[in-house]
Amino acid sequence: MTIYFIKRVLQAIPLLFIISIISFILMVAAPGDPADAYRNPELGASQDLSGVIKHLGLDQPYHIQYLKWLKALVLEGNLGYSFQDGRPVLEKIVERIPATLTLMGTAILLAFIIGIPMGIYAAVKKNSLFDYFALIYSNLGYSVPSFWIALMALLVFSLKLDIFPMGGMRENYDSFDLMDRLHHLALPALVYAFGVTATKTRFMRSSLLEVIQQDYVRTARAKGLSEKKVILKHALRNALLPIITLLGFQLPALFGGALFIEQVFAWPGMGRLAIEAIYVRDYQVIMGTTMIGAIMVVLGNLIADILYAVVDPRIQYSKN
Amino acid sequence: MNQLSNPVVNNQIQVPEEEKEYKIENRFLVIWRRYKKNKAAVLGLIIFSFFALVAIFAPWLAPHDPYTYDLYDSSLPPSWDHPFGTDDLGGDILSRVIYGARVSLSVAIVAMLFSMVIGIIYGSISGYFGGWIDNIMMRIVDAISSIPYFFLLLIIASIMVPSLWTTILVLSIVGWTGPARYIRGEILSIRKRDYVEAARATGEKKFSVIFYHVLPNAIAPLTVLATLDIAGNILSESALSFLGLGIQVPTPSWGNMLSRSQELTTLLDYPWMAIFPGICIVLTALSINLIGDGLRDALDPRMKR
Amino acid sequence: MSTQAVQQKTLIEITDLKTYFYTEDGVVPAIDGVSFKINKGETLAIVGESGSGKSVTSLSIMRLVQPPGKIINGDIVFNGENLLDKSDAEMRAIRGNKISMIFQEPMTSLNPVYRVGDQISESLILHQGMSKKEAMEQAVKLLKLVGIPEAERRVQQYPHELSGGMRQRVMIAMALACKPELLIADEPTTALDVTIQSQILELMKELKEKTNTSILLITHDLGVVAEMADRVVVMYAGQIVEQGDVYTIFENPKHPYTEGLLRSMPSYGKRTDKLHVIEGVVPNPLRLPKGCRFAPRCQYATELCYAEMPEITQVTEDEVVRCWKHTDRWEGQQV
Repeated sequence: MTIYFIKRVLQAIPLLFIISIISFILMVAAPGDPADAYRNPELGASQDLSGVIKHLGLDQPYHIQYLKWLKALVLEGNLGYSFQDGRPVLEKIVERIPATLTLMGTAILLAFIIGIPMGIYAAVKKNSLFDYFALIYSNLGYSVPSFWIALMALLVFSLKLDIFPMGGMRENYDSFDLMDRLHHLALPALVYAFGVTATKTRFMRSSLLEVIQQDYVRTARAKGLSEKKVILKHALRNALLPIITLLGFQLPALFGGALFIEQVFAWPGMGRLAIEAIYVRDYQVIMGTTMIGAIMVVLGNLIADILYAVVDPRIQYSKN
Repeated sequence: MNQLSNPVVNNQIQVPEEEKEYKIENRFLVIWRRYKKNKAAVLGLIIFSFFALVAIFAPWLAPHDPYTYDLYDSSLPPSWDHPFGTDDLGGDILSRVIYGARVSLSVAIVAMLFSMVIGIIYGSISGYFGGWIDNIMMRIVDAISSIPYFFLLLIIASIMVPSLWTTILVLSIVGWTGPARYIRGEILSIRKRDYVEAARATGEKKFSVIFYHVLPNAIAPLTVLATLDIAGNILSESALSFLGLGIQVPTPSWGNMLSRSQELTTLLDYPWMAIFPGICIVLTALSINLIGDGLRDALDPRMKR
Repeated sequence: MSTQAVQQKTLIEITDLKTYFYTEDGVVPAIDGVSFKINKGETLAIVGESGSGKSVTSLSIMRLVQPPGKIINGDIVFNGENLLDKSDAEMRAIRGNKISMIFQEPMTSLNPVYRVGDQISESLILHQGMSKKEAMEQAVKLLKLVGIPEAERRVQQYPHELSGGMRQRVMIAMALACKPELLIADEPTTALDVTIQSQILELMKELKEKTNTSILLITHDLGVVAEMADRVVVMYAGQIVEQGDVYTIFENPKHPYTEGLLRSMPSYGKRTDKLHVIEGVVPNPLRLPKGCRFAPRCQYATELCYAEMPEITQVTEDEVVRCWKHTDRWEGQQV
């Protein structure tokens, strides 16, 4: 088991490595460079920035630059400085992570709470009206652009009906007001969950349907267990296993989705930071968020894999 | 029973006439028959055809020129003259939506084609050579897949000056990992099979054996992938254009028609600007997803149930 | 053959059972009017090819037939009560308890995420009201009974940690846990190696002696039938074509299909160039002939056979056959 754990961690490292290379390539490909901070547009081409360039190491060959950047990243956690306000990128990102995680976490939780039972019920009552609606819902869920449904939800529930606030994370800046926070969290989380629930329902349904075909379910019935027990005890446990890996797969998409929700609801998370940065072409921040986002995805996958190994005895107690 | 022949004496098995018809049925017809049974898939096909027709016949269908604007008529609610209302520059939304169908659909399809080509080539190389080449190539794919999809989109979009073609390029760059993985998987599994070795022993080139066996079977799942990719592209393009990083105004795209509505006052006062283009995106993406699902079920022999 | 002086008391009697499958392509009469009975302590074997309906028969007895299948006709009288009249709850009390079943694929018939001991205990807790602890102890005893070494250790293991043969033993233990009166074994050894096969069969015989359980054995392997069965039912295309005690079936088969099956068995000591095969294929269940279903493959077939479906003829008190040859309307070759 521990060997598996170590193996997985080791596998993740080259991945991160490649991600860093990709990020670096993108960064270099971007127009402009860190020296821009010092470029005075009025002076034009006559400006002698050779000192700056030398200082920033921009005259070195690319692979040296990469290694220096990597070193700075790994040893010092230095992702560069924001073009906009000069603050360290890492700092800016880290302060936004909790907001994004709150949003994502709540949405995922909602998706599980709603989506899994829905999927189970749809599978058990296959081809019924409920199943039909569940399929329509799940299809809608990934056909609807998240930003649009966010706009619509905002329009109806906030602007017209005034049930929810228009955006932001809180109004009460003086103290930690749970109700206020929840009030603000509700709409964005629900809108976000809409899309995520769709996949969960769909997947749960097909996973369960597949499991129900299995021989051991037939054995369970032959033992005289009630259908409820057969499904909930024997089938479900097996059907849930792939959902864990699914979650891992979905992480990149989930992060991306958060982007738009945060944008529309003015939610101060990583996604919003990235979008703001993109508008002003603050590449350091953009790269930083990408890198961090990717790292979080890799970590998420790692956790998902380990979780899966914990839950599936076939991996734990394998003879090899 | 017609023929009363004695099986043992004649040493021939008589197959009744009716049964012979079974085998001759065209493969496509069989798939179409199965597809038809899925009502949702048929619905998807109908809706998509509607949008496709709208896109093709745009110039004849649009009541106004999508590019003209008239500031006196700006931000009008739906009316007879402007069934979807007008936008903040006075452009007729219905016409822009109709032309937007052209833009959004063609971008989505072209980008899909690029992704498919890139993906298939990449996956083929990776699978064919195997070994460490495959290892590295797949790691790269993993890495790209790990980066949140939209982050990648946005970054690449921000590096270039946004335009129609950059949008297509961006979408292709992100969408090729699916087909690449799939083709590589197929090639690898074929390679392991005994008949490849057998064929090599008889002198056939490994290359042709693999592709002869992989391609026919791959077409069906790739079609499904392609369909779903188109749907994804429609959503991605609209998202990019929404943020101003995709198709630029004045070219109408369903996405960029929505960007104004980010301002909450616009959204509140002129909701029709956001509602109609959005519904189009949803319906189109939904119909394509339904088609994709329908195809997947119709093509998968296991699902005969 | 069982030498126990059993009162020939009928344990279960099936009369005119019909189970049809209502598929998209048409109605499949998987079992089309099947009647037989099993006595206490007896082993009855149902023999037939794939698609003959033998598995569906066993599932029908347990009322485990899933849609689109449905039992549309017949009676299944078990211990004096008709199982088809019972409610779901009553049936569940019988399954795993009075009648239990083991399946063909030991590799996949056990739930991979639960320990072996838990899976055995389940029936005990459910039907016998034991506590978890008691059930586990009983499970260990059962594992010993079926010949699994180191039972105390094995009971805590997961299915994938056991070999195919051991899993099948676990299945048997599970099935026998509540001391059922009827054990239905659906091709229990087909998926196992030949050596393991014989071990399992030995085990089953042993257990039968000890517990006097009736066994309904479903198989396509005549060797297994010869070893285990007291009486045999031969099925073809959803119908019974012959029924009798095992000696008669082997030494004096009445139905051409049975003849064909017996001739197809390779035997010791005899060398042949070709193995005998029964020409032809099983009829398409969606387009069954109106006459005898075996006629197209039968070497004795006459026009009568193609035209009309033969009825069940009672040849002796114990033997029945469904064949025109054994009726007085027969005009073809003499037997």
